[in-house]
Amino acid sequence: MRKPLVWLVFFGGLALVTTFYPEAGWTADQPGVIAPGDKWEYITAAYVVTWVGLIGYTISLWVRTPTKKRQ
Amino acid sequence: MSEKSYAPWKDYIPWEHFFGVVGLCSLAAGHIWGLFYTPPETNMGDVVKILFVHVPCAWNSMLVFTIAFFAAFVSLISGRRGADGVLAGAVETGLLLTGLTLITGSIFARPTWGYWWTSDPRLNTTAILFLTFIGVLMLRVMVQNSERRAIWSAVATIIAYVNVPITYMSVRWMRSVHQIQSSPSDVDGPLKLVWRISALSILALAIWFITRRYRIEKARQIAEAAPPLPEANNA
Repeated sequence: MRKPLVWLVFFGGLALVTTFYPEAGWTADQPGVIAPGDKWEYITAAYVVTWVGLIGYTISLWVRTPTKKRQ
Repeated sequence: MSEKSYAPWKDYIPWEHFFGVVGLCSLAAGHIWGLFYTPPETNMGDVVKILFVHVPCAWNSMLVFTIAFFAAFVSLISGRRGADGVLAGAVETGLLLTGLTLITGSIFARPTWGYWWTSDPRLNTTAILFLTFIGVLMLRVMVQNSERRAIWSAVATIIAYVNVPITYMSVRWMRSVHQIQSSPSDVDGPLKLVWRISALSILALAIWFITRRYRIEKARQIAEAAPPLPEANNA
């Protein structure tokens, strides 16, 4: 049961980070209206999540691949 | 390479790491270009830059699940263990990309639509897609017998895949707040190029992920097929 739990923590953690991170410095929008401002906090969050996901999965593959030491 | 002498650290496909290195480098270059050297979009402003990560992930997730579907089909028909390895890699990679699609889509939705999430056909079908393939992954973890695992996960993958065309067409078949399917023809010059670079880079990375995961699965299958070690003689 460890692997599903790891995945749950991984994606749950990403969801929490991306949910709460953009709240910093957030100014409310009206639904359907893009408020003035460049919204770089959202852009940054999206790119950080993507790179963390891709690099994280790369590391997980590297760790799981058997080597002479890790058989 | 025979199974008896199988050593995963030696067994790699020559072009495998080429895809990984090219994918990571071109994705980084594309993102830097997209973030700092493309103009803001007329209506969305800089928020459009989120689409450089969201849309390529969505495109490639569906493509990778299609690879999983064909691998499941081959695994079921022929019983080839290699197909099961490809299936394992494609399902995991597809899940990663679908997860990124959901998260980046939610981040894009907040400043443009005004909410993180809503009950919408495209959003719901994508979330269901993610959860059903999580189920496939959990099934693979829980079933210990390798032959049974290959058959059950192939059947589960084929069933889960039914949702992929539904997800793709949901924006046309149902009323949706999500825009219809995106294509490079929807955007202007510099944005189009960044989109294409990001999509091809993530495709290269997906191929790299699948081949690497395939080797892990191959090592696992061989380890499971090996005869048990003799019990220690305590007498």
